[in-house]
Amino acid sequence: MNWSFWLLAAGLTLMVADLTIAGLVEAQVWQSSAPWIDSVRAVGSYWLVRTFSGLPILAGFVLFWTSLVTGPRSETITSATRRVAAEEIVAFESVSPSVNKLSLSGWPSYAHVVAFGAGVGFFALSFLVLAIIPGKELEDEIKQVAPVTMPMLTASEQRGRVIYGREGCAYCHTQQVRSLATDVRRFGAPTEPWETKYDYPQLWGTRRIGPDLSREFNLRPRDWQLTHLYDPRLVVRDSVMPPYPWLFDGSPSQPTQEGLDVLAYIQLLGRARQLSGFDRQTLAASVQSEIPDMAMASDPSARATAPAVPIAMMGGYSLSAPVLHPASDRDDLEEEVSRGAALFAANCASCHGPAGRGDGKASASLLPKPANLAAARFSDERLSSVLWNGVAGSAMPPWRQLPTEDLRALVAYIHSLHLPGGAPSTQDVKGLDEGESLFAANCASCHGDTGAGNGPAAGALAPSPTNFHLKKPTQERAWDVLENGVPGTAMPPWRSQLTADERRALVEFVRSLYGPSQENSGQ
Amino acid sequence: MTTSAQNLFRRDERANTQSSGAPPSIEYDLIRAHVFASLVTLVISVLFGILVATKFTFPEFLGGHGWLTWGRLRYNHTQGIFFGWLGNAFMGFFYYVVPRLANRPVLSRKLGWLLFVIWNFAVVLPGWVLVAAGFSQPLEWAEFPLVVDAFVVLAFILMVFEFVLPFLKARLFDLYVSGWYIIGGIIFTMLAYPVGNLIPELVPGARGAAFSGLWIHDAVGLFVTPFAVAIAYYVIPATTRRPIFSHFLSMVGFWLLFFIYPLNGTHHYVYSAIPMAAQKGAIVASAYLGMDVILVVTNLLLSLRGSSGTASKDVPLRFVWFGVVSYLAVSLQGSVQALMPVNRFIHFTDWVIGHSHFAMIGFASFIALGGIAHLWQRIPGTRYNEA
Repeated sequence: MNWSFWLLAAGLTLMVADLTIAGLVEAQVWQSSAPWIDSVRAVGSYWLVRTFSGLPILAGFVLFWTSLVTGPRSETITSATRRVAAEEIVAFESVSPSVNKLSLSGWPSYAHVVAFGAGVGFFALSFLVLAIIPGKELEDEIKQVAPVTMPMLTASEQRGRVIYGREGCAYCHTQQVRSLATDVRRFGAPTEPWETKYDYPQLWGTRRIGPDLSREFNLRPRDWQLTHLYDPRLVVRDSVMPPYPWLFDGSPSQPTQEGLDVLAYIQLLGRARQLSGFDRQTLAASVQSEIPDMAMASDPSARATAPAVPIAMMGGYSLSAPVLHPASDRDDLEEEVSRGAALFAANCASCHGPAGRGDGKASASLLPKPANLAAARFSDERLSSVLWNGVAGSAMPPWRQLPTEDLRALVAYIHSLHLPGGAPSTQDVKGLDEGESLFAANCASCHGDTGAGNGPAAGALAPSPTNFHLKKPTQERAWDVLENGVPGTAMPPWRSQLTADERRALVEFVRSLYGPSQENSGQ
Repeated sequence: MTTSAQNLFRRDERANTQSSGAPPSIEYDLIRAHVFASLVTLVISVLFGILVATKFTFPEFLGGHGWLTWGRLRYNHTQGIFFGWLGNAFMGFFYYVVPRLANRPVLSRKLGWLLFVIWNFAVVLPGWVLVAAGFSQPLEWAEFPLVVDAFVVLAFILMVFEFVLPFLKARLFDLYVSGWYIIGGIIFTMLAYPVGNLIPELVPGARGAAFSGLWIHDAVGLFVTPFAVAIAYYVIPATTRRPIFSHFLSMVGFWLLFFIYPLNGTHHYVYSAIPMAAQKGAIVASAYLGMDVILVVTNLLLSLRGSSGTASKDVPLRFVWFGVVSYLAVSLQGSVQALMPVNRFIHFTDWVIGHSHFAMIGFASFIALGGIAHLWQRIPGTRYNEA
């Protein structure tokens, strides 16, 4: 019994201290603009300590149990009942004299009745002022501001919602953006009451281990979501999210109906808000201004202020992507490359593979496939733009929440993946001419007259057609694409349309286009 | 009301004259059954918790099957602690203490066994199984599915008959504060339980969340806290053989608790879409609650003055003492957490998980363990190991 006490006290103290500090660490990371996964990485060791602190607690409880079934046995029932009961009561009887002097007569003797009525009253009051009246206010507000077009959930989305609830998703992912600058910067505008008007029951959540999900609509593509749901660590190396293989038939590209339902549900979150244009006006008004700190905002209108471009938003294509040039100094460059390699391993390798060849663990179920970064020479502009904005229509997310130095290191590292082996200029001018005319006839409608990826059809395509001024594929890669196309994009195979010679000519032509300087003339 | 307990002895005499001198009978078998059920479910629930915690470090650990996934184990961890461990522990204690405070036996032995069976075999066990099989509600402290909830409400109604009726049969205004806490806890939990479990299924989104917030807090405030405080108020004078510091303060603390606690709920959704006036009101109530806890704990600790030797020697009392001190610390922590400048920072983080473990282990479990150990030494035919 004594041992049990000390084990429990020690385990509990350790656990509470550990979790309190972990909470502060998490909060600190969330205040910054660091990627969400950094907060998970930061508290990993605290979680391990927490698990270990559970062991003395478990031992303490088991020991407590043991001490109730070992040791000397107390007397049997005959004499004990009466003796114990009488002794106990004596303890309560000897009330201190000062209290005894207070005698009750008249109305105070009914004080307990009054108090009981008041207790019930306060209980009812709590529902009235904290649930029923606010509920009425919310109902009125919803009636006023909710877009009339907000669709009900489809049957599949509704089923997905049930699975989402059953697997406890809401216990790690909130669906509630609070009216705080840190929340808004990360996840977009604060949750409006009307957005939740079909939520039976609500799934707001009170804990964030993973990011908030209330703005998932259009945020991530389907292939990424399914791969992530099947095994989160296929796409996010340091994720602690559980895998959900029972929603699939053995591989991430074969979801069961349940898997599809969950996908449908997750991808609808925030849809009504985005499609209704609810934020358009406020967005236009606030796009240049700094995000106001809404910490003490008590006015509902303050909640509607939207951020310029939330950290996590994929849709927010930003023209302000900086062009990141790796260091020119040799030593600096080496350092950047080695730092980039570590960053790449932590953030990129799960899809792009350890050597950047597009063969990471997740690549099997992503379509289009992750780029083989060794198979082309990319310009700084291209890499910067992709890192900043992601690649629309693919699983490549934006990474602009990483510090600029990190992004620059990644650019440097990705350059180092491409070995500028013999890129023989064996083709004569005649070959290039042939390639040019073939390109104009077959490719320009998407890739543009000059190969800048800006043909008349390009606007509707995601991912966008390659801009050959900013990306120079290797011969093997270009040949392979012309033979087989790029699955998951609009690029078809040309094997049956063009002869081998024609394709060879095209390969050389598109490779000849590379050079950032030509970009301007192409546009 | 101030004389709430001073007449216990006199009442005993009165009862003696009424019932030919025999003290009320106590259902020792039910105490033992509930204590063992509480310990079994406690250890299982803690194991659930450790599995859940392990998955933070090894997410693939036991990750291949739906019924072992993080979410479902977490539901079962908290519901197991709430119903299995604390529910059984409290009821075990009621069987020991209600006859002493009301000077009447509990209503019926048969009803007691029915209650035991419902609680463990219609609530805890099927609740766990259904959650593991994927039938649950994604609502905090209300994860067991609605079919189980029906039995919970039934059990609370039966508890009113079993434990509250004996008090009503006795003269109420003589009642010692522990009795008040038991009556209040049973009745108000019975009323509050459907609010958190049923209404969010019928009222959507932000409006439902307002109700959820109430229940999240009522679960702690109307179930866990009153019963734990009842045990503390009982074990301290019963062990030290000295009356509590002030019966008057004990009653003030009791009523303030029941006035203020229900008004706290919305502080779980600060900066949310719930109208700001409700959020702020709940935050103010949270501050008041902290003051009430200071009052209650002061009264309890002053009752121990001059008995420090007993408190360090008597292990059950030491458990209770630890729980009382934790109660103060965790409640003040809670009041501070509700304040907006703090809440904006620590909400959604592990800090809150630490807070809830502090409350459920440091406060409620320590006191419940102390209560069990205390009565275990005093009921016949049991073994007890001091070491």
